[in-house]
Amino acid sequence: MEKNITSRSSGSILIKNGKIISAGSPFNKKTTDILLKNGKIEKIGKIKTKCDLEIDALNCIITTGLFDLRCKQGEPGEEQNEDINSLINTAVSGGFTGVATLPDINPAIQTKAQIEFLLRKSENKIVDISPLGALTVNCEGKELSEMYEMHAGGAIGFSNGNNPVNYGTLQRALLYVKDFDGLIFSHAEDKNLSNNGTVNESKNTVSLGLKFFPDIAEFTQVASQIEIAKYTDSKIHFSHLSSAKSVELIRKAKSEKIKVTSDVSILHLIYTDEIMQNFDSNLKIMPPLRNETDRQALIDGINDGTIDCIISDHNPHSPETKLVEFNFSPFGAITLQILYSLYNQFLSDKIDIDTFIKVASINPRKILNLPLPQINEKMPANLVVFNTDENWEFNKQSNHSLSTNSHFLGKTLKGKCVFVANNNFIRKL
Amino acid sequence: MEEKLSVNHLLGIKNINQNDIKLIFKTADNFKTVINRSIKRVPSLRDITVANIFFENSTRTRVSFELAEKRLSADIVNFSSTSSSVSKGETLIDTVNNILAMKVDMVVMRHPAPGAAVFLAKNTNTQVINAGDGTHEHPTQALLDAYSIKEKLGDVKGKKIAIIGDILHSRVAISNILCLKKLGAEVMVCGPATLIPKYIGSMGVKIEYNLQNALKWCDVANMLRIQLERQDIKYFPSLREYTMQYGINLQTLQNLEKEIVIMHPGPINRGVEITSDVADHNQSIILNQVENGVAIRMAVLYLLAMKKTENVKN
Repeated sequence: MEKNITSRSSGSILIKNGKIISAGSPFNKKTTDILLKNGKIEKIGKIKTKCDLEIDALNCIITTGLFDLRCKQGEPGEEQNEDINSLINTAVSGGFTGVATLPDINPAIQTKAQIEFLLRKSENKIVDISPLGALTVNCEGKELSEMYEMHAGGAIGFSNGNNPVNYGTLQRALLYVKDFDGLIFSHAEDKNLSNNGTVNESKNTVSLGLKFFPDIAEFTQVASQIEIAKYTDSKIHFSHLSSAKSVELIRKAKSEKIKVTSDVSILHLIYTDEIMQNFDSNLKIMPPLRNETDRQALIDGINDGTIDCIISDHNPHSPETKLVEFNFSPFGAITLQILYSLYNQFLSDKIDIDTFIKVASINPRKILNLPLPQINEKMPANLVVFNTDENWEFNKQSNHSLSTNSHFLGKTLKGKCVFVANNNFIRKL
Repeated sequence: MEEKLSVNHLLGIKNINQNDIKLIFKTADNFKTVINRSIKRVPSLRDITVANIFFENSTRTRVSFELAEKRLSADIVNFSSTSSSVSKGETLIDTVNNILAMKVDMVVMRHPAPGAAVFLAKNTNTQVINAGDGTHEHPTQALLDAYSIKEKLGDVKGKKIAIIGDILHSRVAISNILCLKKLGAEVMVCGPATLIPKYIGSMGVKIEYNLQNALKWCDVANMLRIQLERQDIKYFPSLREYTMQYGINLQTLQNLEKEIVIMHPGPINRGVEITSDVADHNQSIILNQVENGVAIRMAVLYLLAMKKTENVKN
């Protein structure tokens, strides 16, 4: 079988000698073989049968396919940055079998027709695409968009991308979606306090001359929005949290049984604002990287269940828009393909693999009410093989995104996805 | 062996060490003698072409660099545009590469974006001198300020320097703090709390919101210009009220029990930060700063050109 080509999983496939990571499965933590047939897990255990395809998974882990709760593709309108096909290729190469896509492109994804277009275009692929619809018209934060109809068309939830909404709009949105159990994704930012800032406000950034986006611009919004969710008795999901104080607020809200969930991006877990000294626009992300106390609090939040998911916040931009002075560069970096590698290389001693799979595969699907995969006999084959030791270079050739805006381009990473099965498709990488 | 700078570019004071600063001062001493002779020109930069690329308005710095280059016999091209390259549709890298294609050796650049000089040095194949990048750094200003303090007071080490005014939007403040600290001075920043960055203390400076206290403490007061053009929101109610609290007039100066040195990086808003009688007072070294600016810039250009020759040899 050729590498990097997705094919129908006809015949039998044997994955040999991999360690299964799948909480709740009787085979969890067992190093054994898995036989796939007709898109299902036929058998788990020592298997001697001759198969059409054999995958050597020695020194590999076998997990359920990852799911990303927040990534961006540009179709239709910004397909030069990423289109559905390139997003699927990028996702599958990183071990993702499902992704939720953001609506804040131009034009915004805000009609049933647009949602259906995305679903149609991604139908019958190795990666499931779950589009989010715009929370407000043009993601401008003013008028509610037609969420009911988008929901009927298959929108998995509603987000304004990186644009905040005011309290009144948020309150109405939270109430409006109750009828059909819609989920609102919040980007917590007080524009008056962030004041078009681009870096965290700290001792590491004080001499950079860049405008500050302080943590207070985030956590004051998290605090208020939790109160609004409590008032309306609605569920709310906080995207890409970055500050220790936000984590504390979410922890308290969860203890009070307020219906909040949250996520953190991989870059916020591995880097702090100390790395901004070189003005690398590929690390200009929204919200900005914070300090070490914040990073530790985010890791603790993942480990104690306060933060539900790790996200890529994959945000592709063409080199033309990104290779400019820091201030003129848009926010965002591509991370989808390398999320597992970054976890494996930088975080595996702080967040164990079981927790990682919970927050990067299971919880995102739970939050979206999607079927939960498991590595067990008779279950659909939605699984990924990661080689934890393989070093590989993330470069223009190995990158599957149409964009290259990554701090890691040209760098050697440890840990690689080598095989993916989902929806009766397979891909060897 | 001849002394060399540790860097190939002058991007910020952040990137150079104390020895570099001392070497620049020593070299500037020589050039200061040169520019006070009847024949002010030396052939040090003959056959070297310098492009002065200014994406922001500048009179003093541009003229000072141009004079420094001319005194060193460099060939010069000037390019200025008040709009950034991006808004014109051409990227900064392309603009500079176009100029470099005409065989330019060094670029002196002023740009409104913080980090623009770092960006240019990383992405083009030329020597870059940062002539001010937004609110980030203005290294030659800091060097000439420290040089002027040394000239006036004999040394910078142990001296108490208060930087007064809009610290938040000032590249001069950042570069000055870094430079003065590297030379062993004590530094204080003073201004309205809205214009003092929350974490400025981590740079090793004292913070004071009261002008009188700052003036009583310091040996030198470096008065910064209020940069209204960089303030997108109001940080204080009015210039009038700012002057009431942070402006220095002759009376303020005379009420102090000691003589302090008054500096200003220019351009002065007369009657705002300082009154005319303070600007022109014998305790003010504002015009010495301007004169020293040429010598310092000659030193920087010369030392970087030497680095280039060294790199070519290797």
